[in-house]
Amino acid sequence: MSRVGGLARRVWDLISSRRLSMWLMLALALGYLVWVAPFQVYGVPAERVRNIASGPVFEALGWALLVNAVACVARNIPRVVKRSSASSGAVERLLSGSQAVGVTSPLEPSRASRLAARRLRWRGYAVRSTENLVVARFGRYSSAGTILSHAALALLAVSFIVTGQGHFRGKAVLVEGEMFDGSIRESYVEPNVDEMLRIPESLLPEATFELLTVTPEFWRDVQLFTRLDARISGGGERSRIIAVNRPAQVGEASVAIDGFGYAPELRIAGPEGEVMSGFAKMQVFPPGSIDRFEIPESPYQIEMRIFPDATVSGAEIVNRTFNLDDPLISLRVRDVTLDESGIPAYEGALRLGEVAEFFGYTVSVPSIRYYAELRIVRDPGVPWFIAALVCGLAGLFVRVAMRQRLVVVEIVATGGGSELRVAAQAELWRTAWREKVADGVARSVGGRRAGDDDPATGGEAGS
Amino acid sequence: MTAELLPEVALTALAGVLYAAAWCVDFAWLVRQSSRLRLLVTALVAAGLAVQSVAIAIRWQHTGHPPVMGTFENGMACAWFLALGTLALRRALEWRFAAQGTLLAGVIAIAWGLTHVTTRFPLTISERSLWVELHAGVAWLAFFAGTAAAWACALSVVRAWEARTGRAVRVARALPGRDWANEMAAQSLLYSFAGVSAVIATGAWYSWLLFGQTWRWDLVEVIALFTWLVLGLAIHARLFFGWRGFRLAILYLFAYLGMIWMYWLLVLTPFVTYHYFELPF
Repeated sequence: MSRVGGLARRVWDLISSRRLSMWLMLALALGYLVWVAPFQVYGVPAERVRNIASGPVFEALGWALLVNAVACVARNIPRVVKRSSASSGAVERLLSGSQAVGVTSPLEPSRASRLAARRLRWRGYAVRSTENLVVARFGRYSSAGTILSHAALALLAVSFIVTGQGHFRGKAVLVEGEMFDGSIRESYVEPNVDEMLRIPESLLPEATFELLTVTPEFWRDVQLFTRLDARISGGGERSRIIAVNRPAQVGEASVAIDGFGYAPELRIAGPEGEVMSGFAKMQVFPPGSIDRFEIPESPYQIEMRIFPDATVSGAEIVNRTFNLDDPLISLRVRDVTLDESGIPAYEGALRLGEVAEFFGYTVSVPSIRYYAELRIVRDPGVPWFIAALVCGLAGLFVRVAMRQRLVVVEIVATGGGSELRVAAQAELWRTAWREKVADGVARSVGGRRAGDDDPATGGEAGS
Repeated sequence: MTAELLPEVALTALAGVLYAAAWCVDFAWLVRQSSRLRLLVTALVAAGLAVQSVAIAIRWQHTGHPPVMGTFENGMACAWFLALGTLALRRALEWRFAAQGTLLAGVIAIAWGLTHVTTRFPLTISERSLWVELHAGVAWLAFFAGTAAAWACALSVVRAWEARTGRAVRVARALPGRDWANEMAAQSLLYSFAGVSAVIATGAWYSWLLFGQTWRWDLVEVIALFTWLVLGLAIHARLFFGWRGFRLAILYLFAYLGMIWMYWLLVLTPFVTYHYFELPF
């Protein structure tokens, strides 16, 4: 048992070792620099670079660092907490050390003590003072910042685990007025059908809504969106607006708009009076793009282009803006059983409501709606991730803004005034800061430091 | 790459000239150590900041967004934050020298921005968010902290060299001594780390809003993570293994190179940004 206990102890020491932290940080940093960054510089596609950066080696190193960081803090919590508690021993140690700075003052000790204490209080210190001793502490709880910021790493690890268990991402394409049900596989266009079959239904988010409107706007006649948002409603709630960078939480899913297109309403009447109508989600954006579809149970294929704000100049169609203000639909119908180079069955341009006729068929476009490409994401790890960010930033703020400092001023009466010994210690600051504190105390008691020049002002002493 | 003569462009150029003049005068102060020169530097920086603030206001009014789009606007924003930070640094005596570094960086940022297209574009919709503006603001503050830290570390390296060779660098004689330089370098590490952490945090949150993913492993994110890790390494080396002086300064400067690379690739590159959006907007 003692051998097992000894082994366990050694393993724990290794896992929670600071030296291991250093090596892991170095390995990861160099790994990203040497193995990931150059691929992007070489123009390797972003998707492949992501696969490299999130690959098994980096993932293993990352997890090792997370576990190590948490273990490190857990092991050192007692010491960290102890540092924040009051310690009279620290005061004695400071005063007995050889690094106190001497200050002479013309004031008698009690007045010097009051003024020094007041100055330190004004600087935010918690001060206890007597006639002969001033003890000032700052940032007593700064160690909590260390614990918080490292606890954030634990929360981060939890968020990764939770995300791994329940993450789903899909894409849906809806025409204005169409309903969406996230729990049905057929609602999604991505992942594709085969991939969707491999995804358990339990991962599909419970989310139902109707796409009410899509509103795109462009800057002048350039393909530069100035607005792209959609209004959705669902579940009895009032409607909400979603945008590219403003998702809405609907049930278990985060829903945002990722793209849009034109969905012309097609009305096709056949030679025997049969009528087909509906909205077709076509890949006809940007204007001039061609999409095709075939008329069911017929040899005809229709090529379509949509010009959202078009004028006709001679034989040429000129599109003015990308806004759907005065659309023109260009149609080309061909018989797929014939040679492609032959004369088309129909070729022309229609305004909304106009009819194209060919070989007993009529085609018209009564209206055009927009469709939206929607990003549907279910990620139960996000709340944990947000908690990690908040915790981490709060911890860093506490640590940076409230670094622990201890100032001790011992005051002794001398003929004609008093002699002060200023001792100070602070995290990351030692010599230089102590001198700065002594300068401040000297100024507050109308005195001066005994002996040494201040190196920070030494260069300007002659100015 | 042409510069259109818009009023904000002319004012930005003027601000750059004022910053450059301030830097030259500050350098002269290093040599002559005159208090009058010190006051002149502060006045020049303040004047440049005021001129640049007007330039930014004009630009903002016309474009409808703060200067976050394109190399010219990001150069403006970078220089503005650096100038503001420079004025703040000059209030603390021992940090005054670090203001030379931040001021120089501001001049370079303006000059670089002016060599790029200055057309007023509206913001793309994927960048229209207060979170983007917060992320950009935090990023420039972090860059300021990083630059000040780099200057402190550079002084630390100089003092270490002086101690090793026994020679003095004449132009640095008015600057803080070795102990001060080492401790400023150590302290500024913490600020730099906090800044980069805040940049990563705000960026991750906006990435979730825009892409439904908190992290996408694009080049800028990879370099940011690299910088963050090296800064963390430096802080732990300082706290637990007693690294100080030359070693610590060199390690930090390595991280600072990563920071420069990150910002250059992100918003100051003449090419398309490496902060992949993969969106048509």
